[in-house]
Amino acid sequence: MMTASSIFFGATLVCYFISTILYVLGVTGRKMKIAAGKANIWTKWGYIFSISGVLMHIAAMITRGVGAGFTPVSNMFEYMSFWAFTIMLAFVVINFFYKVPGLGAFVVPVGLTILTYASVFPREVKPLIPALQSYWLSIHVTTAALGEGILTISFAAGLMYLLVVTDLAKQPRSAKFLEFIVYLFTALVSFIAISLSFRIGGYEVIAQTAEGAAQLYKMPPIAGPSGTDLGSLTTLLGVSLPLFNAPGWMQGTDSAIQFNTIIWTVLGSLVLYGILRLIARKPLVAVISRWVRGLDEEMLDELSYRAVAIGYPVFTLGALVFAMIWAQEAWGSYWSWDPKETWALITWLYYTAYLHLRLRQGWEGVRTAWMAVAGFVVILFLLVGVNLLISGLHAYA
Amino acid sequence: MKQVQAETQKKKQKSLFDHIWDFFASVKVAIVIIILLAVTSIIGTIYPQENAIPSPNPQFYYADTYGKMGDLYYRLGLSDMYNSWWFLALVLLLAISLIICSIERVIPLYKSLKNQPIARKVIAIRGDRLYANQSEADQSRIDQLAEAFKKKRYKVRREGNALLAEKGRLPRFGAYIIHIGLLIIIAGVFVRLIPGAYYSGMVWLKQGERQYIEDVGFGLQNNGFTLEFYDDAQTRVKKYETDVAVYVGDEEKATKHLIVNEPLKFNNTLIFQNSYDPNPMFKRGKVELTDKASGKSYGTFDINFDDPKPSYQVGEYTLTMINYYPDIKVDPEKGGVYTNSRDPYNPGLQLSISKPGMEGQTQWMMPLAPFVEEMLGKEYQFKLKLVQVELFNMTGLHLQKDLGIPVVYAGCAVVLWGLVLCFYYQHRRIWARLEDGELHIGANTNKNWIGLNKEFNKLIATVGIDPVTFKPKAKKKAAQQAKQLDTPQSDAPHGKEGTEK
Repeated sequence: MMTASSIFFGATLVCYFISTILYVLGVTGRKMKIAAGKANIWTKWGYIFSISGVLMHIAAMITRGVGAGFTPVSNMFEYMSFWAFTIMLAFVVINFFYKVPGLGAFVVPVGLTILTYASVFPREVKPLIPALQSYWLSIHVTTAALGEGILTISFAAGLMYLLVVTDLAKQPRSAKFLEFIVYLFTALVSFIAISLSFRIGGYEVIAQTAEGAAQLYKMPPIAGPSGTDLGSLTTLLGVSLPLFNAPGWMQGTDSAIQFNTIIWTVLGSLVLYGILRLIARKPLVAVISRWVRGLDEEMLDELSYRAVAIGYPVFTLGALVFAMIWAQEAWGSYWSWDPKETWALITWLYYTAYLHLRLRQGWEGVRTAWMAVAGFVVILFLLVGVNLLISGLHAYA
Repeated sequence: MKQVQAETQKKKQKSLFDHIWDFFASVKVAIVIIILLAVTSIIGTIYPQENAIPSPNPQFYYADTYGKMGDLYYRLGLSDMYNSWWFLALVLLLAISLIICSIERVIPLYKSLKNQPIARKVIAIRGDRLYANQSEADQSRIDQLAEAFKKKRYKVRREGNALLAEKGRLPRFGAYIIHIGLLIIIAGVFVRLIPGAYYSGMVWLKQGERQYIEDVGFGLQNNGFTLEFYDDAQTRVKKYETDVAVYVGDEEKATKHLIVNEPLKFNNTLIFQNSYDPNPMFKRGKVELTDKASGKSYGTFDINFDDPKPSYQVGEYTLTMINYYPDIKVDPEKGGVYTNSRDPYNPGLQLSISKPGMEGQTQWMMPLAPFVEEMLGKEYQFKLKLVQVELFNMTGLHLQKDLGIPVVYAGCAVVLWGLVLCFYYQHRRIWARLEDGELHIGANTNKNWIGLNKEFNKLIATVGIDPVTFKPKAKKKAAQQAKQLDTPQSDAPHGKEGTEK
């Protein structure tokens, strides 16, 4: 069963990858320019591959669930994979009704990125600890992820809307912000690529902190724990590491490691971004904004809002109400201000503000679209940032 | 003229209450409060809160673990910020805003929907985004339409040659139902401030131990604790369970095999299997007395580490307890020993061994510290060996009494109901009017125009009108013009907001 699951998982990755390529070709190909937002042969096949990918994904999860004996949403690999699934599912369903071919060029790469990120985490099935032995695990996690998946569509549509309405030449400030969003995506991709390659290579270096605690580095320590002798830990391509140390005020348990990861991510993203810039020879946003030419801005605005209107109640149910009921049963308190819980509330408050602001004059359109785009960062922090940077009761992975 | 003067006078003499009311009636203020709550909540997640740290001494913990920043965090009270007065004040401000904002809008909405005209001007109907007409029509068409609407479960009202069909008025109130639900949740949270309505605490029980918990009025007894791991190296816990019994006085009132995720409820109090002490304690053991040099056994005795006897008899030898340290520690500075707790995690026994005709010889026994024992016991004639031992882990039970829980759950249900109404249902209205032999039909909804369009076309087909498509959203200018004429959307709950900016 687990072998079958791995094969299906691989097939899912391939489907999403092909779908991404087809969609990007479909919106950039000079000869198959999307006329007035109509689908072309590329985007049609892109959609078909998205659907196949979603079906493969379902097969991968079912076989894994059968093999493990429980719903596979209990560690970071399974959870990230499930989130990618809900993003793609929401896309496939919403695209069926709204038929915006260009949407795929924005959503499918995100789904693919998240699924690739899932592969960074160990894939082995670990039996469940007592707190997770509850049917509420699957109910709470799947509903919450579905809400987050739908909200991700709002981000993509909001971004497309901004690309349509922004005149890059006349609105340099907006253009810069949009370019920054594109840069953030390259940062995400490079973070995943670096983590994945060092994990595949099985890279590990142990550093001793000044207090004598051992720190396990899974990337070469450019920055060591504060107080380490420079160049004493290891060498990478002939360079002795660390080159410098984390500042002394960073005294959290893993903060030196996180500091090092951030340095790697920034370096990697600058390289990746630089290469892309060299190929494009202009701001990347100028390239991407051509993907959305001819799309109806009002429809995109409406789509972005509708995705929030559909996703918000699902998120409330899954990430807050079901979470409270389960917390009450497992931890003996429906609310304990655990960081994950708190961030779910922050995300909810954020979208609550979005929904209220949308009713105000002057907020429809550009401003709320920016909020929808920034909302993805909030969700990303809720799902990934909290686990990486803050420990708490949800640190199972 | 006089009246106008009186009104301006009235405006000028707004009382303090009016000012406060107007302040909280603003959605802008509500949004600011929401954002403040979100932003301040972030601060509380930078470091763990006091309820989540593995130390009972936050004053040292934050400085030790997180350095200067941690110390500052603790000093600013951020380590327990969700219980701070200012955070609770923000929640209360949100509650006030929820109440006043809702009252300000729900009453006008209710009134305008109640008093809406059945017969709208034809020119207004023509301006609807969804509009169809039929010439050479007569009163029978209106009758036919009324029948068709009723079949589709519309509420139909008629006035002469005009008709208003309406469906889903309640969803218009969805947002306010959500607000009510949120207020119920907030009320449910604050129930814990009522004396006797809330208790939360941990109980640690050894095997067979019974403790009485005064705040909840009953006692708990541990009749057996089991701990299982998935692997032999004991890294991943499979289950931990307690056979627990509830006592009132000396009477057993309830028992349960308590597992994680399945609490026992007694007397409005929930009893949870929360945790266990990872360090096992000594319960009972069998000790063998041997000759150190020859290894010859003199016999054994049984010991209860919770309650050791003053002396034991092994054959002709008498072993007298000089000192018993249940959790022995060596003091590195003074060099002596002391006990860290009264629980037998690491027992240390100092015995005097004697027999008729032989003077008492002092001897230590430390099963978990053989090196210390060895060091002290170079001169010993005897050796005390623990040949059998029964260990156990303490079970950690969490007790929670919160009479607010059903209130919070009820609030959640109301919020969800409101969310479904607000986001998944729509308010549809269709007007029909016969004038000069021409039938005009116009429709309006607050969302899902495509859905309404489909239904509209089916309905007008019953009187033989061809399908129509709704017009794209009117641009601002056009919308303003329509507003001046007559707009069915003028009763929008947030219509007031436009003027506020």
